[in-house]
Amino acid sequence: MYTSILKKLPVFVAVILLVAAVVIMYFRSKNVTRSEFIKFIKNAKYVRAWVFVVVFVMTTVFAIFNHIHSKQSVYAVVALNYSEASQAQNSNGTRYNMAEITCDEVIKKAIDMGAFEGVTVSDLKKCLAVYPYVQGDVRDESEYHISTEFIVEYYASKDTQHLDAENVIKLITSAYKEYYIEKYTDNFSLSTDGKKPDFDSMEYMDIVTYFEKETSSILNYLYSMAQKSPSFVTANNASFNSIAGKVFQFKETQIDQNLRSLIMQNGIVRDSTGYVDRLSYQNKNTDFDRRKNAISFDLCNQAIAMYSEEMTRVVLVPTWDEVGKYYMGRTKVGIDELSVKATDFSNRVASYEKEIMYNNLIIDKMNGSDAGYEKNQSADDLVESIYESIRNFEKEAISAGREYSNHRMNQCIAVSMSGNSLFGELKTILLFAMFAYVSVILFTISRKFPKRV
Amino acid sequence: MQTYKVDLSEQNEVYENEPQNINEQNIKVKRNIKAAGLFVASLFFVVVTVCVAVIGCNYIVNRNFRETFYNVSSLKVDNKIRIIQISDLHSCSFGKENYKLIDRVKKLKPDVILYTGDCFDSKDKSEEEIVSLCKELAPVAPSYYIYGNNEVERLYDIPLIQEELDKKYGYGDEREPQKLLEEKDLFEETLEKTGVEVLKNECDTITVGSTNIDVFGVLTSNPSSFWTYAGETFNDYAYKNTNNLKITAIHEPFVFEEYEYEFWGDVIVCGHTHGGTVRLPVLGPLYTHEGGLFPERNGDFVYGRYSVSGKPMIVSSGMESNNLLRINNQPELVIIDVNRF
Repeated sequence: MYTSILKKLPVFVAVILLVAAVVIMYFRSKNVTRSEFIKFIKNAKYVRAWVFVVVFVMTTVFAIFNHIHSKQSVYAVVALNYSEASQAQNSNGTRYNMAEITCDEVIKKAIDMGAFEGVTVSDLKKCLAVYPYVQGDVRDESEYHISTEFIVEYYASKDTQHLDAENVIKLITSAYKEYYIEKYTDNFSLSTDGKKPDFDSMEYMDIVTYFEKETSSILNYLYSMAQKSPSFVTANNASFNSIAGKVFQFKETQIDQNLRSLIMQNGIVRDSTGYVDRLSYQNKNTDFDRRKNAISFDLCNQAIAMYSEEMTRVVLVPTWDEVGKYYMGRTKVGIDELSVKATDFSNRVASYEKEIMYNNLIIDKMNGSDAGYEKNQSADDLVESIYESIRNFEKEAISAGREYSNHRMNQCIAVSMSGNSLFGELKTILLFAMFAYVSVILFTISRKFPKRV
Repeated sequence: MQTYKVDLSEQNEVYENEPQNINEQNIKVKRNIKAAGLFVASLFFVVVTVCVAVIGCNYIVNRNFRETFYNVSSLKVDNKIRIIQISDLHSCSFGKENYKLIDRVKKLKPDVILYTGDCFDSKDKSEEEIVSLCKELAPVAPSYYIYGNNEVERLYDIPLIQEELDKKYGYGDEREPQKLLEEKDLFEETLEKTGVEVLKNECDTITVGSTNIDVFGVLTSNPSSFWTYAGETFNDYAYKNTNNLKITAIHEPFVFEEYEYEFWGDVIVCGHTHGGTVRLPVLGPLYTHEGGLFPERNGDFVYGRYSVSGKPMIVSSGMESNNLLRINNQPELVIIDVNRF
C-alpha cells in the first residue's frame, strides 16, 4: 500500500504544480475580460526554447528520482494452488496464516540464501508488507472473500537500500515456499535409517533381519501412498503398487531365499561361539515365555470347563441407539472372553515354539560350521548388492511420492514478480513532462496578464 | 513608334518600398534559420546529454556486478543444490584480483561452480587473473571450466567447426574425435593444478548431500560439430544413471536453437551472447553477432531463462564490465538454486 502511494507521489507533485499554475492564472485573469483572456491564450507562443530547456531539466531531475525510487520497491503475488486454499487452510488442513510469509523464520532463511550483509531480520521485516490480492468486505455477506492470492510488497529503507529489491522479494518468496513445504506438505522421509551400517561387525543373520526391517519400512510407505491414490502413475509409468510389488518380490527372493539360505546352508558366521551362545540365551528366554503362555492356556481351559451351562448363553442387554431409540443388544458373556484369551495364548505358544526350533536349526548349522573365506566373500558380495538395491528402491519410492505430491499440490505455491518496468517508468516520465510543460506555459501566459485594470 | 506613359510615381513608390520588403524577408529568413539552428542545436544538446548520461551511468553501474537468482525444480534432488555460474568475464576484474567476486561467491556458499567460457580474452591479455580466481574459488566447491570461443581461439589453432576439425581428425569412419579431447594444453594443466576440472565433451559425477550430480561440459559447442564430436559422450551422459541430476554446461546456446532433442539435461547453463549487449526497454536485446538486430524476435536464446525440451536453460549475460556499449545490461553473477519443489 505504502509503495503504491509512494509510486504515485511524483505524479501527484506534478499535478500540484499544474493546479498551482491554474490557480495563479485564475487570480490574474480577474483583471481581464473574457475576450481578452481568449486573445491572450490564442496569441501566446507555445514553442519557446527556454520552456523546453526548463521542462527538460525538471523532467531529468524527476526521472533520476523516479528511477532511484522504482529500484527500491517491488512486489510479488503469492498464489496458493492447492484445493484446501479455498477454505483458508494449509494443505494439511490446518488454518492458513498469511503473516507467515514474512515471519522471522522465512526472513532469516532469505537472508541466509542471499547472503545479505549488514541486514537483520527486523530491518528487513520493516520493509515488507503482506495483504490479500482481493480484499473482501466483512460487513456484507455477498462480499465475503477467502483470498488465495497475496501481495508481498517490499520498499527499501535506509538500512536495506544497498540490497537489490528484486532479489530480496525473490528470495523471500522462495524461502517462504521452502518453509511452507517443510511445514505443511507430505513428509517424504522413510523410517529407514539412511546411514550405512557397519556390516563387517554385524552377524550375517542380523544383517538379514536389518534388510527385512528396511524393506518393510519401504513397503509400508508405498502401501500408505497407494491407499491415498491407487491410480497415480509416475512419469516412468510406475504406480505405488507396482513399486511395492517389485520391493516385495525382491524381499522374497533376494533376502529370504538367496541370502538367508546361503547363510543357513553353509553355516556362514563371523563368531560362531558367540552367536550360538546368544541364540541359546534367547531360546531360554523364549522357552520361559512359552511355558508361561502354555500354563495360561491351561488355566483358561479349566475355567471354561467350570462354567455352568446358563452362563454360556447369549445375554440380551437393553440399550439405546444414536437417535435415542431403545433396543435389546447382544453382548458377550464371560466365557467368550476366556475362549478368546485361550486362543491367543495357544497362538503365542506355537509362535514361541517355532522361534525356538528355528534358532535350534541355526545353532545346529553354526556349530558345525566350516565355511571358508570364499563362502564368506560371496555372502559379503550379496549383502553389498542387496544393500544397494534397497537404497535404489528407497530412492524410487521417495521420488514417486514427491511426484505424486507435486501433482496433487500443483507446485503448491506459485510466485509472480511485478517490478517497475522501464516502460512503466518512461510512461510516468512522459506524463510528468506533459504536466511540467503545461504548468510552465500557463505560468508564462499568466505573467502577461495586466496586474490591474 | 508607339509611346507609353508610365506612372513613375507609383513605380517609384514600389521601388522605394522594395528594399524594405527584401530586408524584412531577409530578416524573417535569418530569424527562421536561427530558430531552426537553435532547435537543431538544442536537439543535439539533448541527444548528446542523454547519450553521455546513459553511457556514463551504465559505465559506473557496470563496474559492479549484480546477482541474478533462479529457482529450478527437480525431483532428482533431496536437498537444495546451489550452482554458481561465472561466464564471459573477458579478463575483467571486480576489485583488485577480483576480491569482490570471490567474497560474494564464498558468502553465497555454492555446491558447484561453473565457468562457462570466455573468461579471458583471446587478444593480448593474459589468463593470470582467471587462474588466480579459479585458485581462490576451487576450495569453496567443486569447480568446472568449459572453454568458450575466446579460449579456443587462443589455445587451438583452428575454430572448432566440423569442416576444420575433419581436416585435422579425419573424415567418416576414419574420424578420431577422441584425439581432439585428449590434446592437453598448458592452460588446462594450470587449471587442473588449482583444482578446477576442465570438461571437454565429458562428464564428471559428484555427490552433494545424498544427491548425485552429473556435470557435462561441451567443448565443440558449434552446431556443425556438436553431434560428430560430442554426440557419443553426450548420449552416455544423458541416458546413463538417469536418477542423477544432470547439469549441461555449454558456452554457446546455438545447439539448442538448431536441434530438437528429447533430453538436454535437467539444468542447462550457457553464456556467450552478452545478453544482447544493449537491452532496450520493451524491445529487448538489441544485437548479437550471430542473430543480428533484435535476435530474440527471431527465436534466438539471448538472455535469461528459457525452456529446452521442457527443462530450464539459463543464458547468462556474462560479467564483462569494460564494454562502454553495454547498456541497461549490468554484468551478472548467476545463482541457480535447484530444489525438489
